[in-house]
Amino acid sequence: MNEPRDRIADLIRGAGQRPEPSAEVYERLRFAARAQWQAGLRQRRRRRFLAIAAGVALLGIGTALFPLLVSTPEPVIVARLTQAADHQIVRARGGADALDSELIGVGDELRTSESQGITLAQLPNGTTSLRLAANTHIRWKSADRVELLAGAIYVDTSHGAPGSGLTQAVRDPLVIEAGEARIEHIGTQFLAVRRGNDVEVHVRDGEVRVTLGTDSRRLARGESATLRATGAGAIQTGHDAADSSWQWVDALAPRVSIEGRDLLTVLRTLAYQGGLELRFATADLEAAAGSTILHGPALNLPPRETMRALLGSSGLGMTDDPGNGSVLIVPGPK
Amino acid sequence: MNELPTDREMVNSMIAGNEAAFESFFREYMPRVFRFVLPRLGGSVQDTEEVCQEVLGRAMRNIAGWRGEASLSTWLLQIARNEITDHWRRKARRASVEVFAEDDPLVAATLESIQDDSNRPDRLADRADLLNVVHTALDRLPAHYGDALEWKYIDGLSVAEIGQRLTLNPTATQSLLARARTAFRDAFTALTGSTAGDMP
Repeated sequence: MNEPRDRIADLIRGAGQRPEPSAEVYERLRFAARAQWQAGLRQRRRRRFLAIAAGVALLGIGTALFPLLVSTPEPVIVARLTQAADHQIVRARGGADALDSELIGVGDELRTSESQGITLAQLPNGTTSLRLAANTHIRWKSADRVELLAGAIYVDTSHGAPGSGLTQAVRDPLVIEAGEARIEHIGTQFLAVRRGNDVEVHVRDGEVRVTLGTDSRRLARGESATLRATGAGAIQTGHDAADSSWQWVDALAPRVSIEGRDLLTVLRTLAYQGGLELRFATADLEAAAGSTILHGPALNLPPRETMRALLGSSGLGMTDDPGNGSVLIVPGPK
Repeated sequence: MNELPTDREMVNSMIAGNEAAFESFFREYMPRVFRFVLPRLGGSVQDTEEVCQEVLGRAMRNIAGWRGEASLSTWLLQIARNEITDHWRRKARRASVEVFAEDDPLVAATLESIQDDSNRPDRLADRADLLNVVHTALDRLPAHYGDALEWKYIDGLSVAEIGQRLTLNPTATQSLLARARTAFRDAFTALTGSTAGDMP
């Protein structure tokens, strides 16, 4: 005699596992949600503090209690380390020892080793990524203010390609300070290099405002400036020639997920990351890229090399001109 | 038998700044929000991540505002609905019209009442494919019910192994599985208007 079928078991087995976000997406969401949760906690504590302070003031003993009330240090998470190796974090006093090793709090200092750089993702919305060259030393003064004490920092405030749905730079302010110099992005990718008291700024995309004392200039894509804090102080601007400064920047570019995404979107993201202008030899090639869905893990290669690898496996090719920073997508070899 | 913390206890702990409570919340609810948003954005993982970030961010900033009048899950999914609407508005493009049975107010009310084991409607229109219905039904159960059913029927875990994961003794685990099956049957019925036994 046949056993009666368990319909509920059949249904659940038949439907299979519920879809789960990838580990990468899970981590990014956890990171962002946790930061917002902590922000909410701080806000509520601040309100409670103000209420208590008001009461205390009314009782005339506010001054006596003030130091006790404000001394509730709590780590404020400002960034998460990604693709990190061989580095040192100096935690802020009274601050972030409770944080996971990959999290950075306000006041923390970060030094990269002599041989390796690091890629960071910055809070709160995850759209800004920072890359630090080897031998770099920075300190988070606040959630939107980073002090460059030595070395070089690359800032990408949109963390993706235009049109990929990830451009939220306007909501993610960040100021880099280096001695007397101050660098503010206006939706961009730029590199700041500190050499003693001087700072070099190179704009790869978008626009940047640099300030030294009362002098303030706007720099556009392809422009650079040297901010000399010594002597009378001066900003000298110029145009960037293609050089090797971007090599370390590209080597530390965040890896781009490809699973389930179309080739065109991935190429745009990679081109943006690599500061490249993307062109197609024909409209048909662009359409073909748009209808090619990729599968597999993110490739551990710089943007230009990743593009080449993906195009090769998709039956397409590319010719690049490192001199003017553009790539042309062409039919693959027959 | 160890009692699993209620949503109220978990939220209270989060408001008090308890890290473990945040982790439990995230582990339990983020995948549900993700699965809720994903099909409503045409399966775009990228857009789903963006919207989930907004949903969870808003929920985390306002977690103290959850009064417990609706379940935590319902509260979160309402935030998700609003964010999805905003998303399409921002994109300034017409979304293809996708209808989800669980968005129907009557179905939503039924799913909300599952924990009370009462108030089931008889027939509702069959509007979603079977796989999605099963996943949706699992997602709308208390998280440990859905997980326990998957562990038993998909992963093939024994009652003892499931009990170990939930830190429950075998008797309590058996009882939980029975309740989970009943809740699943109710959710499934609410979504499709048919019972599991009606399925071919």
